[in-house]
Parts: sequence; C-alpha cells; structure tokens
Amino acid sequence: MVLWLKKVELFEKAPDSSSAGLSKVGLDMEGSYPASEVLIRISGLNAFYGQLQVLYDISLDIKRKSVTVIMGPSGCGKSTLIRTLNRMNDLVPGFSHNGRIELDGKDIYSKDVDPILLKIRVGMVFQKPNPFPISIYENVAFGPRIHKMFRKKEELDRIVENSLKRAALWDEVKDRLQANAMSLSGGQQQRLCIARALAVQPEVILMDEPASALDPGSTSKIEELIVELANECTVVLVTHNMQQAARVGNEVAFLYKGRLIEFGESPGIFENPRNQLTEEYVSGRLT
Amino acid sequence: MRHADRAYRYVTTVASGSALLFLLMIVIVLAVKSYPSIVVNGLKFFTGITWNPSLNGELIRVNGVPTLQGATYGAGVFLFGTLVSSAIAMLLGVPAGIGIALFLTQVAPQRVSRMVSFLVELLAGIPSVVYGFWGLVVLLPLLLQVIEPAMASLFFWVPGLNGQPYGAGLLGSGIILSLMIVPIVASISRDVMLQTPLELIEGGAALGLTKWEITRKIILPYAKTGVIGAVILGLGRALGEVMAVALVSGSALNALPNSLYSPINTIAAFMAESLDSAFTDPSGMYVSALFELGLLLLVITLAVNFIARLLIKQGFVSKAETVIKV
Repeated sequence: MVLWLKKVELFEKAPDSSSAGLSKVGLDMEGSYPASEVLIRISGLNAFYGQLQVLYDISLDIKRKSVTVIMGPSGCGKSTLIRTLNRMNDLVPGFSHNGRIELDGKDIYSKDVDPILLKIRVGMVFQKPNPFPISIYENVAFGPRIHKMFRKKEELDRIVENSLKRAALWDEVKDRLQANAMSLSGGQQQRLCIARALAVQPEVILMDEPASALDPGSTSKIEELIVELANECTVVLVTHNMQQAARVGNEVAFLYKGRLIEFGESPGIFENPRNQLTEEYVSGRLT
Repeated sequence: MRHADRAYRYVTTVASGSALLFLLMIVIVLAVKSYPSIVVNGLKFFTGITWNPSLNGELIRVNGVPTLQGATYGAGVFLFGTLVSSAIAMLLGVPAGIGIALFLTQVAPQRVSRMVSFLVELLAGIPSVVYGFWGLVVLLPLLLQVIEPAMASLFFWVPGLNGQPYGAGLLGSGIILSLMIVPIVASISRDVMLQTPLELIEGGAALGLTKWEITRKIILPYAKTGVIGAVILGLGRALGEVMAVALVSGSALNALPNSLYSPINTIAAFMAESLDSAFTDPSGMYVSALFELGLLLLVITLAVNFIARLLIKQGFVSKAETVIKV
C-alpha cells in the first residue's frame, strides 16, 4: 500500500513545518489552505450530550507549532471541546455536534475522513496516565505496530528510542525497556503515554489535564516537555490550572459554562483581560 | 456496637466454616462408601467398559468384602461419555458464549444489549429437565432425520462422523449441554469485559485502533482470566449435569460409542438412573460402585478447577509481558 510506505517515510525524517506531512494520512484532498499559520479552525461549534448542550458556538483558531491552552473551571466543557478535535467523542453514546472543525482546511467530520487516520495525525494524552499493562517498549511500539509503520525491527527500535527521548523518559528507562509499564511512577507513566502518542508521529497532540494527577516535580517535567514539543508539533492543552496555562501557553482560550469567553495571547490575557469574567477567573474570584 | 461486631464475626465465621465442613463430610462419605468397590474392582473400574451387577449371582466374598458372583464394574463407558460430551459442549458453547458477550459489550446498541442480556440470563434459569424435554421432543428427531444423515453423508470419509444416525447419543448430549453452558459463559464473560478500564479503551482509541483491534488487543487480554473462570464454571455444569443428559444420551451400557451419533451415558446421569436397582443388590457392592462413580466425578471436577487456577495464575504472570503484544 502506498499509505504504508508514506507512513514509513514519516520516520525517515522529522516532520517539518510546511504541509509536507499533510498528504501522508489521507486528509489532504480538496480545500487545503495554503500552509497557513492556522492548523485547526473551529467555527460555530455546538456540542450536546443527548439533550444537554455543553458547548455554545465556539470559534477558535489553533496555530501550528504552538501551545494553545484551553482553560476554565470544572464542567466548563473544555474536555468536550478537546475531544471533538480527534473525534474521541464518537465513542460516547448520545454525543452530537454541529458547526465545523477543520484540520488544514479539511472538515474532520466529513464522510471521507477516516477517524482512524485522523487519530494518527491527532494524538491524545489523558488526565490519568493509562499505559497498557505490558512492557515499556511494547507500549511505545503499540501504535507503530498496529499501523505497520516500520519494515524492520531496527526501525521499530529507533522509533521507540526517539519517542522516549522526545518524551524525556529515555534516560530513566533505557536499561529496563522490557519491564512492565505499571512499575513506573505516575509521572513516568504519563511521559510514557506521551511517548506512545508521539510514536505515530502526530502533527497535533491533545493533552487533557495531563498533569492534574501528578506531583509538582512530575508536573514541571511535563510542562517543560510541552514547551519542547511545540517546536515540532502543535499542542492543545486543557487545564484548570491557571498558572500552568500561563507557564506553557502561547495562546490561551478561556471557557466558561460552555462558551468561549476570551481568546488571546499569553501573557496578555492574564495581564490585561478584556472580559469581566476572565478578569475574575485569572484573579481567582471565579471558580 | 462491639457486641454487634462480635456477633457479625461469629456468624460469618460459622457460615464459612460450615461450607468447609460440608465438603469434608461429602469426601469422607464418598470415600468410606466406595471403599468396598475400590478394594474389589481395583483399576479395572476405570479401564473396563462392562457394567454388570449380576444381581442373580451368589453372594461371595472377595478380599473379605461381600459382592455377587460374576459382578463386573467398569466405568469406562460413563467416563468416556462424560468427558467427550462435555468436550463437545465446550467446543460448541464456549465460542458461542464469548461471541454473545462480545456482541453485548462491543457491538450491540445499549438497548438491544440490555434486552439480549436479560434473555441470556433467563436462559440460565431454565430448569435442566426442561432442556432435556426440549431435546427429546425437538432436537433428537431433528438430529435423527436431518442433521445426522446429512453429516454422515457429507463426512462419509471421516471415521466417527460416518456412523449410523441414532438421534439420542453423543452429539445430542453435547448440543444440549452446550446450550446449557452458553448463558453461563456469556453472562460472566460480559461482566468481566465490561470491567475493562475505560482509560485503556480510550488509550487504544486515541492511538487509532479500530473497534476490533481494541477488542482483540485490549479487552480480550484484560478479560482473559475472567473468561477462563466462566468457561470452567460452564464445564463444571456440563460434567455434572444429570437430567438433561439422561433424557437425550440414549443411556448406553457396556458399549463405547462408535460414532458421534451413538448412544452414550455419563457418570452423573447413570448414577441417578441406576440408584433404584442398586439397592436390590444384597451385597451392597452395586451401591458402593455408584459411590465410587461419584468420587470419580468429584475428582474430575476438582482436577478441572485446579487446572483452571493454574491457567489463571500463569495468565497473571504473562499478562504483564506478552499478552497484548501486537
């Protein structure tokens, strides 16, 4: 399959900034924007669980190779929003939405988009570290194996090593790659999950409160990592931790009760919020 | 409060202790009662296929134990019938049960799943004698007139499958038993599959796994030990089933089946069938032989459970290393 070879190419070189990576997994058909700054464009998004509306008319542009933070208090719909970006919500019974989400100008919910291939382009890391109960090596190798992204064992070894290095975990685990992933600490497990997501070379990594279950030391490691990752791919981070948003975000969206209240560059949005609600939130008066 | 706690402690301790005591009593009774048969019949009990109580024989003593002249007790037919009919039941019932569980947890929409789950659980509650009657009235004629002739002519070149259609026999018993274990395997497997942590499933989905890949790489490995447990419970039911088998087995005596369609008999069914006539044996040897059959069945069941535990233990060990390797 051509697709197979193209996926292999992904590992021959790191993905670069242009649209070179786009044609690789089938989302590139018509309507591509010229390689613009905007990678993901959300317009007029409403989302529902059954009858309950959780997102109201969200419009948001997410820039390439930057960290876009979606912050807001619990229950504001930020997790729902991030989960529409790789169609994880497809799994949830009763979920529906309208509006448009474009990845490189292509509607990701259109019929000719394969949700499987979309998830290769848009990886995800969850709130609770969720490594599989298998070896560290096999966790990272999981995606490449499923999607047959290598021809030789050495290539897979290289993918695993590179991914673990990019997730800043290699030095800690290189001597025990065959150990069970469950033997790692919580912070290590979360970095392993990041490595697992990176192993299929996604263009976008979605992170849903990736540090909220971790201790402060592990949290700062994850934050460093997020900033680092933004050099190579696009990170969308959900957090309820304002300080974290300020530390890692290039652009910050403030979501409140399902509505996008304010969207702007950091630190501007913290220093000079335009909206009353944002001001209350960043000053800790809104919970 | 402290009194209540103490009472709580006593009552539960006594309850669990009585279970142990009961098992011990059963084993003792079986051992004591089957002792005469063990002494007289020896190993021939397991290898012989002739079961002839010789009720008109003269009362004699062998090794000091009273028995009847000419009496022979070989449980081979029943042992074979028990093991093979249960094996057929597992062969048919386990894939079906696991298939139903997969359908209920992975494929069916919630409303359908709830309804089918309910039906499956109803199936588990049907008394075995009803299964037996259904087998007798519906299944056996169907086997005799349609299925067995068709199989025999289709597989005319396969020994064991090209025999004379009979209706009541090995195939019928296997099918009835498989119907009886399907609900057990299906409902327990469904429960353990539902326990797969959502984080793992989402982790797989986020990596771009298809529904089938998630099932195969994440849910099945996770549910494996529980499914093995379900299979063993089903096997336990199949091995010990009396009524349904008694009605559809053809009650073979002194002859091993020569094809899949031949009559058989099982340990449990035969014990129930022949207890009446056993009491007419003045030497008591017939009753003792039946007790030895009971002991044999108990040992088989315990062995199955032991093997299952071993499997599950190994499952836990290897789970960490290899199981969901792609």
